[in-house]
Amino acid sequence: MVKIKINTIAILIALVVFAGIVAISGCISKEKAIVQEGIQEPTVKAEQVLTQSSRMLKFGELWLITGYDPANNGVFITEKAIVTESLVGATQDFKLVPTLATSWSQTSPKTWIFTLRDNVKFHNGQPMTAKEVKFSLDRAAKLNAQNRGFMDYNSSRVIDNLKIEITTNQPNPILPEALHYPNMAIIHPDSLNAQGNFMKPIGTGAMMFDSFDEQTRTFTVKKNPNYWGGPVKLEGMIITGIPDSNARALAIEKGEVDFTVDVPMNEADRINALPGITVDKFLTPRKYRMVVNFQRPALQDKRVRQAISLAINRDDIVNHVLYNVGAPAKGIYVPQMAWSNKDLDVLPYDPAKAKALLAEAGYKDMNGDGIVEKDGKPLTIVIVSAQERPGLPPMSEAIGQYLRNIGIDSKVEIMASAASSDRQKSGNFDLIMSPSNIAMIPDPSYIMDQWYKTNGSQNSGKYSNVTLDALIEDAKQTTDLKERYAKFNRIEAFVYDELITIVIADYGVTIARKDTVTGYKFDPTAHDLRMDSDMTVTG
Amino acid sequence: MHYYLAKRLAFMVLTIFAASILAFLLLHAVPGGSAETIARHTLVGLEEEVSDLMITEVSDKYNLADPLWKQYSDWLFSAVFRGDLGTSYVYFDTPVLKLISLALLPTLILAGASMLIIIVVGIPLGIYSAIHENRPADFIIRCATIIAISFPSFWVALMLILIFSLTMDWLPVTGYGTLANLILPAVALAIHPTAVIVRIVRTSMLETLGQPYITFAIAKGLLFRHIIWHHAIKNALIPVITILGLDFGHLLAGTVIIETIFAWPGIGKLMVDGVFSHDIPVVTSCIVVIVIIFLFVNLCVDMLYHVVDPRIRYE
Repeated sequence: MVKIKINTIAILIALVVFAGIVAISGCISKEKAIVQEGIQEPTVKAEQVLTQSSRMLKFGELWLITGYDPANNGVFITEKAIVTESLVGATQDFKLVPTLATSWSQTSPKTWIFTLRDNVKFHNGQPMTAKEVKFSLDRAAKLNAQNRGFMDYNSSRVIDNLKIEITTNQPNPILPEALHYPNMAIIHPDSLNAQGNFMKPIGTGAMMFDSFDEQTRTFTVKKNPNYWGGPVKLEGMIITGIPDSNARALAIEKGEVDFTVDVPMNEADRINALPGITVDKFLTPRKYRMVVNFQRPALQDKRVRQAISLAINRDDIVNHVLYNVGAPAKGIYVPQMAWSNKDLDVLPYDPAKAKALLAEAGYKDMNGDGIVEKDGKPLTIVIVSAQERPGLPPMSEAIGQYLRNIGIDSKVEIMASAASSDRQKSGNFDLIMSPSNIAMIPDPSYIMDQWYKTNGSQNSGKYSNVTLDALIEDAKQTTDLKERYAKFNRIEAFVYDELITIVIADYGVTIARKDTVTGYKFDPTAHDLRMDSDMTVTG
Repeated sequence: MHYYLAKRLAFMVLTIFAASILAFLLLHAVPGGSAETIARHTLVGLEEEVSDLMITEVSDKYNLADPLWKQYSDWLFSAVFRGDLGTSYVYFDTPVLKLISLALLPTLILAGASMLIIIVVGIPLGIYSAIHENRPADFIIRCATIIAISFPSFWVALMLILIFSLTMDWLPVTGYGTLANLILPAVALAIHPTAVIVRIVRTSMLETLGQPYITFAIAKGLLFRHIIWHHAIKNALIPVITILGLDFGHLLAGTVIIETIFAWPGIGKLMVDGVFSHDIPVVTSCIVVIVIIFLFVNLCVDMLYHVVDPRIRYE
């Protein structure tokens, strides 16, 4: 008995001591986990910065930081961390402007010559020349099929230090636009180790890579003192991925971050009313739209598509579903794009006309059950939606109800995005909700190619019109900007009127920042948002 | 004893094997192509379309077009014979072993801190409750434990955030590396098992206090405090140790939700992120590691029975 008692106590004590040691060790072990990959100067640890400096911006990023190689993670490293830069930039209305390249010209259908900016230095002090540009573009094309596809890249040739010739496989009139894509950012070859593995991004941007904590996946950048664009105001950023929108809202409310994006839409106004926090709403180049399945006989009838569109009150959706984060769609493009057709307006809401159109198309409620029929069969429309984007599920439910109001038997199916994408690929839907990016490449041809061409990669509704295909191709090859935009204006008006895909609203984004953060300018050409090195953090 | 141990170890290996197959197959059963999901999470962005060319490229890179048995056996072969759990699809070819080794420590810290709370709070409360049986203090403690057992840990976590972070502004919501970051997740994780321990200690203590040798000690005229400390507690705590051991296994394995809520960079969060992005080697390996920990702790607890009470023998 005595022995049992001693053992019991001993084990208990051992457990307490073990638990204690494990817990305490955590508080002192953090330092070991930080991977320091400093470039020139002694690096600063993330946790020290948190306590020491109030000038570093704490940024709550939308996605988990999985990697920071520009060839694959350009959206993060070029647009969010602003460590690397592309050759070509874009203005607020999506027109191209020089960045690392100062000018470009098409010398033959398949070749382009880009002149590079002089006196640009990488973060390791080396000058940027055509050699590094070739290295970066070769690498971007090799590593990622999307990059290769956007550029239609064949090869490039160094002409002299500041001139590079790029050859495409087919004539690619939008090569400069493709080079705006953040994955085509320019890095120094020393970003790779001797084995060719990517180690750290050595770019030309306003921020320099400082450290990456692999444990918390916190990414730290600091000011580039020799930035070619002039003095940088922002001291640096500590970037943490917070994928949950509620968690981002908590983090800004609690002051754990100074700046974050996409707080829940229904929370935006409440957070904005809190002292010391401002929430701004912006439009991004993305559309809430419904892909129409043209394999379905009912939907091949333009009157049915018109009835569906007329049944939807877009203003109410923006007010009550999106809480005004977004805007009713006026056309296929967003209004701030230089090439958008300014004559197009929000599609009207007119349920009475919608019912009349259905009747004209032969759909009438013969048995009095509230659902219209044709040849004895009720008109059933299945709306598929992914659940990940917060606006999509409630928007689909609302649209389902609008369609029931005009006598369409609508069924709304909400599922994980991987599942909805399976349904989209297999054509098993009538309408599918999609939050589509319309400016992966800042050019009007991008979505026309993908959404409306017979073999377009996002034409999952299988719409086919050879005349339209030819018109798109012709407009795409037109180089005179005025003529080019005029052609795309006509195409936009046609596809908008035909309701080949039914657009609902422009996608909005909320940017929440502490009032101590000033000078932020939103860039609508970025994929989520672009951080701004002209910001300052005080206090 | 040796035979028993060998048998247990053999079963452990079988269980680990079965768990890894299950984890592997379940991920493949999730709708949506793996290559497409991986490309969305790494290359193009969650809401963007993935071109067929890119799907083929990702698929070729990770041999996702191979038959499932081949993908699994390749992974198993390198795991068993080379100790290589593969590389992550999503964290750009980082070895899984490295990701797990980075995530294991935070999980151990969290489980350790929770264990500390369970022992330091649970056992004294249980004893106090037993000694004051049917008095107001006992009643209050029993009510509190029932409430604590009834609330799910994720709800408790959110309430703790609401009270201590947002309203009182005492503690941070998320983060890792300081003691302040540890408190809320550890408490949220500990509340349920602490309540269970309180109730078990109380019951066990009451049972012990009813034993003839306690009556004998009272009759002998020993001080009540002496009886509790030297005779009752030590015997009453034998079943508690068993439960604590099991709890430790549960804590290590069951931090998934708490880690996700508090953005604690542990193995649970690594696994959840992996599930969303179809990071098959990471998820399969995480499950294997969790199963190993759980089985190992269980085995240790079973061995402890013998140490605590030598009358128990395994043959």
